Amino acid sequence: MLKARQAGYAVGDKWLVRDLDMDVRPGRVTAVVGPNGAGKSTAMRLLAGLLRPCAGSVLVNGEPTDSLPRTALARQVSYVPVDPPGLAAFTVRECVSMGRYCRRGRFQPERDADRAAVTAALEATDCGHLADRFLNELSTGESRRVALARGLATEARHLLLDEPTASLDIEHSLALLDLVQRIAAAGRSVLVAMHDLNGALSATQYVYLLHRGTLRAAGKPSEVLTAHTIREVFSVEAVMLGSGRQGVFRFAAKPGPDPRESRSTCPDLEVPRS
Amino acid sequence: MRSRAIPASFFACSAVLLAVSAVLGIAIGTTPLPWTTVLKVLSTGILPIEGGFGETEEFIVWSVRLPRVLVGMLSGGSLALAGAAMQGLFRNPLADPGVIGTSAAAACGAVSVFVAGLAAHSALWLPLASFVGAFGAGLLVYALATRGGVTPVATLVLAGIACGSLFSAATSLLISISFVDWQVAAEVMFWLMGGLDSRAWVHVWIALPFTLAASGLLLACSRDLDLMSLGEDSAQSLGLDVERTKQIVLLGASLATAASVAVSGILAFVGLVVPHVVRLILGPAHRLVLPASMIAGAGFLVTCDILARVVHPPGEVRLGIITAAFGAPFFLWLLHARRREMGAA
Repeated sequence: MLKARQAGYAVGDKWLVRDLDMDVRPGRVTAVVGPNGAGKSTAMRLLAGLLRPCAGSVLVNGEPTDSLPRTALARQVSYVPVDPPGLAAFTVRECVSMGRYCRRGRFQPERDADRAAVTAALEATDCGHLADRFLNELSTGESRRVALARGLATEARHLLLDEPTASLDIEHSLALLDLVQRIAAAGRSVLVAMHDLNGALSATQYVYLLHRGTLRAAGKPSEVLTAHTIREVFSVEAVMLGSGRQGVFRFAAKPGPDPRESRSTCPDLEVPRS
Repeated sequence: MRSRAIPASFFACSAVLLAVSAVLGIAIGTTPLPWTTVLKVLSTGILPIEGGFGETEEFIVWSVRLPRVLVGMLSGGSLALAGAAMQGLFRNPLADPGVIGTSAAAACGAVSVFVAGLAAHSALWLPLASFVGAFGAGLLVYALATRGGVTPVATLVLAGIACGSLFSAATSLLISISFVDWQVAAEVMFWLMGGLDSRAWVHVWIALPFTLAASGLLLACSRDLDLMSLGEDSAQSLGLDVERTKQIVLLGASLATAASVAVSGILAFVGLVVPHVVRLILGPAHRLVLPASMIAGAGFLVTCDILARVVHPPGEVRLGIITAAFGAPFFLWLLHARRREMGAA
């Protein structure tokens, strides 16, 4: 299991996140949600071992991640960033086989086990037909799946995905959430940072709600994501249609000051009358 | 689309071209030798064959032109290797070995030897000083850009540019002082333009160990450089020790650049153009790009050295002028012809 215990990260004297207690358990999809600047990415990077906690600790199987060598950590935890999987003209297969770096010796040629893991990862993410395409020719949806395939190819138990559905259309983001659920069902643990609250409600088993660098709530999606907490944390109006996991939120901006009154304070927005 | 046949044929072609350019490099000069004689002389050194050539030919081949060609190979190979590694490390196809200030510092070291009048005492001072300059600059820039065990590549480039300008300023200062003595100034200017004239076996022995060490270090890092191209976060989460990789690659590239500058002066564009072209043909995998750049760089420099000897007889054109004069237009043509791919890469 991957855990954060009172973990915090600061830049200078500003805490980006603090007092994080999080458990990433196998067999379920865990979501990290929160408004921009809440510390989602920092929390993900702490758990991934990319940042060294300034306070508390991050443990994988009981060992602090910052005491493990990079390759040993990569065999346990794999982080898939939000950026495209790479810009150089590698083929998709070459890129995914880089996921085997942590399992191959420096001078060891590719073994059958490596090829099998790469093929399995490509198949699982529906990238089999892309294997010989170049990374710089892929669509956004395809790039996301390839990045995920590379994470899978490491055969790490814990998969951390930073906004895997960002800038995907509805079809692709639903397909990706479905894929993530299948990966978790097959026994891995998946932690997903996301902005899509409806997606978090329907596709995850556990939710951490971050607000201003600390955990505001944690628990089952339907308990954490309520109209009340969303109004408070995200500063929007929210109405739940339906209930439980089938529920869907409708959002609306909080009513601001009357636009007619505020006109004089925003001269830039005025349309010149001809 | 790249195909599997390309790497094999690329290596075969560049190896043949390298061999041909080496033989021509030995054959062509103020006293031209037929290439058959060159082969005969070379093979008697290895095989027990009786001659059919005079002592003069033997002397020209073994003591004059062979070391010159070998120095050219070592120098071109290590520059192109360092360039390929730097482009991989900085994830930028426009990086070259000079980007962390090594060339400027090497020039500064060499020029101080001239100005101090040490160059006349021993042939070893010049390569030694430029080597120390280049290698020292690599370490200095790394130290300046590192804070808390982390070295951001952007900081590395900026520190490199700053140190490079500082060393260039020092070089210019030394040159302007030395203008009082025209002889010294001329020597300095010539060295700065790079060249392989009157290179002997001692220069081969100076460059060889460092080139070997650097290529060992860098070739062992080829998969690490592949991972670096994915971005530091991805690379690190896939198990790469990113900071360690930066140290090793910078060490290897500084060694290679220093080895080259020590024996042949400043040679523009070799470290930029050769790996760039190799990357366009072979794709981004460093397992191929690094050794291919070495071979191609060696061949390119030996060829440029032949041109330097034949363009303006009986004198020689400085080698750095030739590499820039051929490298730069070729590079511009590439930029133009392959604009789309370059934008994507």
